[in-house]
Amino acid sequence: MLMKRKEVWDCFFYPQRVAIIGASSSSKKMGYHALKSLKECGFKGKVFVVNPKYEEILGVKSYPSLEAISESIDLAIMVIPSREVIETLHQCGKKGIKCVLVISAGFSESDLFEGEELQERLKKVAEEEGIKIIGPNTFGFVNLDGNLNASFTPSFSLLRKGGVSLVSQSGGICHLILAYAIRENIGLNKIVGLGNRVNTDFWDLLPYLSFDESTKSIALYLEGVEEPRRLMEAIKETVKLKPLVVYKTGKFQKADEAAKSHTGSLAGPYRIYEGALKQYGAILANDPLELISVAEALSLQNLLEGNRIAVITLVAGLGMVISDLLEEYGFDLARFSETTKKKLFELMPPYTIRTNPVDLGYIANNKEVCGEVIKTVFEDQNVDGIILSYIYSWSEDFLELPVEAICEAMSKTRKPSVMCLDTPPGIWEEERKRLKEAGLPIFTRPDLAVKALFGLREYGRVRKRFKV
Amino acid sequence: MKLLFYPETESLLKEADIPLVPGKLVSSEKEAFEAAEEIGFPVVLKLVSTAIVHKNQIGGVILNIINQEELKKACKDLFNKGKTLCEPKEKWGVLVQKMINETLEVVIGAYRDKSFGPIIMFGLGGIFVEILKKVSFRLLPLEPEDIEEMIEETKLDQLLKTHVKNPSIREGLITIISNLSNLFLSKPEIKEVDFNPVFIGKSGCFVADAKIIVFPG
Repeated sequence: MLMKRKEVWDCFFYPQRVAIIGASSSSKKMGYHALKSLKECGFKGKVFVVNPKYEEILGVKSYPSLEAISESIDLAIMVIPSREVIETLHQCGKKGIKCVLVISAGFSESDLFEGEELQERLKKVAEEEGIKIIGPNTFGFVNLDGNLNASFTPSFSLLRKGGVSLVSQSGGICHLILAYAIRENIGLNKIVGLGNRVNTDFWDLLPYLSFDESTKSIALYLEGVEEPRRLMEAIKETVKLKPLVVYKTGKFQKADEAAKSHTGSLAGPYRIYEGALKQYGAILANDPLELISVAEALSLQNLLEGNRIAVITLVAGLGMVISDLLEEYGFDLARFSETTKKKLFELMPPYTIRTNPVDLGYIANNKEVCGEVIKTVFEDQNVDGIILSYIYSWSEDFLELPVEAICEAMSKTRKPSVMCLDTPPGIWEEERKRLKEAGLPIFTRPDLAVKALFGLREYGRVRKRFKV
Repeated sequence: MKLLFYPETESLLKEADIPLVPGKLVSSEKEAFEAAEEIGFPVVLKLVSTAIVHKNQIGGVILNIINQEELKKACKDLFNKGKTLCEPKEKWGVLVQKMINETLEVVIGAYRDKSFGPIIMFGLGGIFVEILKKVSFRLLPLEPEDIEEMIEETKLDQLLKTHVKNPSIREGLITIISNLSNLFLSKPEIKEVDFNPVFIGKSGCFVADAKIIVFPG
């Protein structure tokens, strides 16, 4: 009997018992790393290993077959040669398994003579057995909310748990984002590599993610799909509940061609995708890092309902860079109220810019005054959103981040705010962590900070448009 | 693929309430002169045929004809071209249209994509279209916000603000886009529509050239 849709995805993301078929003790094999991922991710459920060649692998007892396991299995992970996948899927069916992750490659994406046919058969057998498959030809999937790393990359477990769920047509892009997100402390929730999408596509996962409580925003890496209207309809339903950011590749011909050999997908004409995505309520990103950065801001911050931005900066130069970028994205620099102006003139000496952007340069060594300035600007009624920018300079004895004041201003006004800050490794890590925990997205690049605000404004537009 | 002949195109647009630049299809120099007198010089002469998709490439469009003498020359040229280029079974003729001098030109098109289905395209026209590539696509059907966003995306809004200050002109453009989308959705036999150029001027918005391709049969 087929499970209901939500139950199937709960079974994938929150399983009790997971079997890994094709686990290996050789660190040169994917099966080794897939098992390592599962063992090291803090998974609370039970892990079973199936491989007739071994008695035990990495300290886990190895069963000769699925059948030999007496308990029922929620999720099976296959890391076996592609030609063995079909037979193993039948065994999964016999065992009553409804959720299967096929990491194995060698299907429609490959140059193998039988690749295309194998994929067709896989699809057919999955249908007969009533099995949902993620993959084949994928690194796997990760659910940080359920301490589950069902992938061949153990380091996905190093990610901070947060609100962004990522669904990707490329495993490589997930790995690029992985390293960036670890470094930038970006919080992720569920990450799925769709692979060849034999019977799990974007539109299967979007309804689940839009009702998933721990997912706050959704990021899609998209190359192209066979049924773009179906994708657009799913996006439209999703954005009524949660913000969704898309990075679509294939802007130029070459990338389009590469996509075809990549995951066996059909990358479509970029221009139509671009228009359609916007029309159906997605927010467009221009590169993978922008994708995850904007999604993170949307997972942490309130919507930007106006267009008037205040820039608070430690150095005038960065204030100008940010002002330029704001204009490019159609924002206005907020004009402060008389009360704010008066207060800023009292707080700050006349050597510095006391209008917008506010330059903290001359009071940098006084954390309390900087904090007062920040709180004053946040509270101004003419300010809809704020960009803070600090830089690392002098020594820590001289310059401190006014963390408490920023947190206080944010929680009091709930105005959307982002920070632009880059520091050498080991500097201000505690402060950054505390700001992150308070919900402040921090970006090393000023353009990402501005783009994040753009995303917060765009989602406001989308919600208004779909009347939610 | 079948290209509609001018009279059919004209009546389809009329039915859909899409304004076309006034013109008359003629089959002789004498008729051409009468039409030009009626429309008023300057005029444009176009060789229209179910066999010719790209008129410009074969020199089938002669602009800014200011008097009878020029008209005579243009007629000779186009009627000769028609006789050589069009097979006897093809319908063809010469279209006399009012010459319109407007700085703003846009292109509007609709077609059926094999995976996306019906799509509308809107962009800046004239000499800028190739370089600026300000073209915007949407899936059909459209909501009013989609048309607004297309106009905004192509930066036409800024041009409209500086060149055509009358807001009713902008409304006219929106009506053309919206009526085209309704026409295209209501007639599945139409494969492709191409309005290029559409003139935007002080007197309103007019389609100067319309190509409609229908599925055979």
